[in-house]
Amino acid sequence: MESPERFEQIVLSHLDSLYRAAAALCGRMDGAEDLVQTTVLKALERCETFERGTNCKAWLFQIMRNIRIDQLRHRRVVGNTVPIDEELVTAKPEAEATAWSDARDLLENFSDEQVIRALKRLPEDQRLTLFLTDVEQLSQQEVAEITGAAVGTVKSRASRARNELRKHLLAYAKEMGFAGRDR
Amino acid sequence: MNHLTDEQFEDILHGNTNVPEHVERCARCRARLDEKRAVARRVHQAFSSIQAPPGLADRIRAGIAASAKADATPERARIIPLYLHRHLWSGLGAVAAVLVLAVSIGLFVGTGSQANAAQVALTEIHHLNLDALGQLVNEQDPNALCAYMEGQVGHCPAMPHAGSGMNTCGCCVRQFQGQQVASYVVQAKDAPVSVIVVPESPEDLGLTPRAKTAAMRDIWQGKHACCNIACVRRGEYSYCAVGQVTQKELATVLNALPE
Repeated sequence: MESPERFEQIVLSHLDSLYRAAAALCGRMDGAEDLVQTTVLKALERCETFERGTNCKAWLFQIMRNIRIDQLRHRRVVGNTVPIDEELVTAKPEAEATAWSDARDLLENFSDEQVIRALKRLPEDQRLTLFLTDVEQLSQQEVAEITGAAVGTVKSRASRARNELRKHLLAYAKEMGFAGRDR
Repeated sequence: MNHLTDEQFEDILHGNTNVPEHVERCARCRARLDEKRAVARRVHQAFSSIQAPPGLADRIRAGIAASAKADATPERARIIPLYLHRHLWSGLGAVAAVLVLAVSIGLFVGTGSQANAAQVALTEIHHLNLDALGQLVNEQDPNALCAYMEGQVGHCPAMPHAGSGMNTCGCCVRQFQGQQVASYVVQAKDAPVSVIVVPESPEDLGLTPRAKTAAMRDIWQGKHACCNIACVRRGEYSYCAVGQVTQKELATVLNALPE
């Protein structure tokens, strides 16, 4: 068992990853900071439950996800909806999935902010799964443990998320006039 | 010829399996794989520029220290024993509020608009309240709540009267322009509304009188980002209702305050 000071150091060494995850989950940066603080505090309270030798970052993501679920549950109770920033992506996605003529070139036309905002339109479970797989590049097993889902569910969720994201981006690309050709 | 399933694509992306020969022969599967790889790469790239704000680690350490200190202070527990732990969260929220406020003020002082900075700060407090709804002090006993607020900010703010149809979701203490102020959240018709009680006059907050309450008090109005702001002056304090609702709904909240 690490000393509390050492454990605090280890937890805080993952601050950037935690902040990115919180930004993906919350949408707003001030909310992200609150979520990170709450997660860190909760992690320090529960340091005895951390199994040495396991992935600390994955453990922190799991705590963050649970806190987020509690927050959303409470908001639903009081009748609030999750606030979403003013959308850059406004067009509805098309129902049919078609391959882009040149996905890489097309994706380069989007700013980072536009990609992140498009991601925010996905359901929370898809968004988190895609973040953990594509950004944090965790294994499917780790993502399954964090999200409390089966590995098969993680795969299908990630795939759906990727499809949905490309639909949103494609719709936006057409709206902006830098895409129009589907195969 | 069977095309690859979504699961197979995921396994390839994760490196769990090699690319099957089928992909070499099938233009459709090859295009889909390329596309999925491109999306995965772009998502990764989009987040790579995001880093925790400077000083966040220090603020968290300060929050931890504040929590430890609060844990060791039995007097607080005597005020509202049931909700002691929520004081800690209020402390953390206050730390976050200081940061947000500092950033906001920094931005707006640069443009020479202190009044706008106040409205930004009010809006940020509302967002903080929404994000911490589950952690607000949610005391049902009005007397205990009043005692809590008096202990925290030195006065007991007016709250919507029973029968007004406004449920109070919880209250907390926030930092506003370098001072602690009372705030609470009520569930209005369409969305939660924060009421933030500040000593500054509505005029100093950069608001404009545009309507009247049922008791003929001026309602000072403003707007920042997606939130409307409406304030009434009551004694030494301005009661500012902030939310993503119409001005009319904010006026309903302010009208629910007892005269």
